[in-house]
Amino acid sequence: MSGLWRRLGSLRRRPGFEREMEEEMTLHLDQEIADRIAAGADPAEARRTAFRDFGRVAEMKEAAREVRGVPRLENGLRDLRWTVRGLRRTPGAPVVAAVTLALAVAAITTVGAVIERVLLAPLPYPAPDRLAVASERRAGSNTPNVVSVPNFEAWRERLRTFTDLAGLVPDYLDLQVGRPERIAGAAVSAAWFRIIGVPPAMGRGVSEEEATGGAAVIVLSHALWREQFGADPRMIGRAIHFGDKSRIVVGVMPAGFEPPAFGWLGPGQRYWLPFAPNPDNRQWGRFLLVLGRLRPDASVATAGAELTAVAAGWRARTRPTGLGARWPGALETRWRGTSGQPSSRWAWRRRP
Amino acid sequence: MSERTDLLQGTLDLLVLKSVAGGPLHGWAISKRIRELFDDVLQVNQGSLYPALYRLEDRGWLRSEWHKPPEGRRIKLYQLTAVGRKQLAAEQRQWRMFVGAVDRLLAAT
Repeated sequence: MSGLWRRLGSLRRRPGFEREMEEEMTLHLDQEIADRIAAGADPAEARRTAFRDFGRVAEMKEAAREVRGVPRLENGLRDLRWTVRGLRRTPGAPVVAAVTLALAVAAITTVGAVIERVLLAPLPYPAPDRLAVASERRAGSNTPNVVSVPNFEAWRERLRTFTDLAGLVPDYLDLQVGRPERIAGAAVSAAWFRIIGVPPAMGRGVSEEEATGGAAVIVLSHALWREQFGADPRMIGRAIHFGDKSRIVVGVMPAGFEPPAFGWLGPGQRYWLPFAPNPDNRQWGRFLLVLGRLRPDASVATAGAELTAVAAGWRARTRPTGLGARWPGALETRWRGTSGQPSSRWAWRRRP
Repeated sequence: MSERTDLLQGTLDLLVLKSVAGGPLHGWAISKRIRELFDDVLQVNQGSLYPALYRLEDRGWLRSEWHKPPEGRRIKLYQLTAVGRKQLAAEQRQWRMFVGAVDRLLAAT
């Protein structure tokens, strides 16, 4: 990890450059999308083609950083993803490693946040203004960070301003049917399907029982179902094999469905697996992305205050020491955009 | 970096300098202007404009400034410096020499 630390360290010394680059690129993409919509394109299509023609944002940022002599972050991010995968497969991985990892993720989410904000608008979900991302943040910092499983559980149990709260973790699978391919997806709480409010085109989402029981089930994106399984209408109930493991397909999401993408979870999710807290992942430190749906009568400000209060209560009960002791909760909503002109509203609550 | 990319990069620099010769523009407007003029000829990712802008700025050929309009979001405007204007003239001369040389070569065979 020391190489990663070095890279992140030098990156932090260039906050102005990163922020301004993000601002410029976001503006560019927003204007490009608006321009295409004005020329008669469908909003979803406008967004897709604007991103396609821009080129991979991460690559463009890397090229720009190289011009300015800022070292490569992509490699660090890749290290990190593999570290996470390693941790997930190593029960009882040292807590120290998990905390280190969480701090590294903090720096990366800062860098990656802005593009997702663009991707999220306009959103094809019911009542999109009720969707919110809940993050931890370090005292004195405005940077949204990933969330620990115990804190997520405390939020889920105690929050009254949300109807549902879901944990999300990026995931990868090596597909061995059709064309062998590494595909990206996400492990999500069963609540994720209720939060997005988009019913699968076929089959169903993941149930609570499947999530908590760690059931080997999978929900496919429409594109994955079409490209890898020839849009087979009898796919539900069938097993897909990944190496020596297999998962039963329980659902296929509708065509054109674009999953929420934020933090280090990219827009190219092609499947969804169940996620649930367990004794192992409670020890992993901060790694969860948290998405929630606000009650119709709850304001962002109230929810943010409640989030902070619950996080504080949880810290008081569990008495974490050292780094973990100073992380209040934070809330952000990024779903204010309509018709290709996204905007974001950040509602950080000051620590009482 | 391959020779092809070097060639493309040099061309992109020239196009960027030329596009702001008429007055300050922000990134997207530069990209749009280049595309309007070269649409089907030059296929390049729009995002690669930004490394080029930063490089030209570092060389002192462009100057940038954030501008906040009365309404809407602030934009970063790029404009030619005096050195940049000379560089543009030099690059245009070089480009014409190059094109002329290639033309002569093609005509000869």
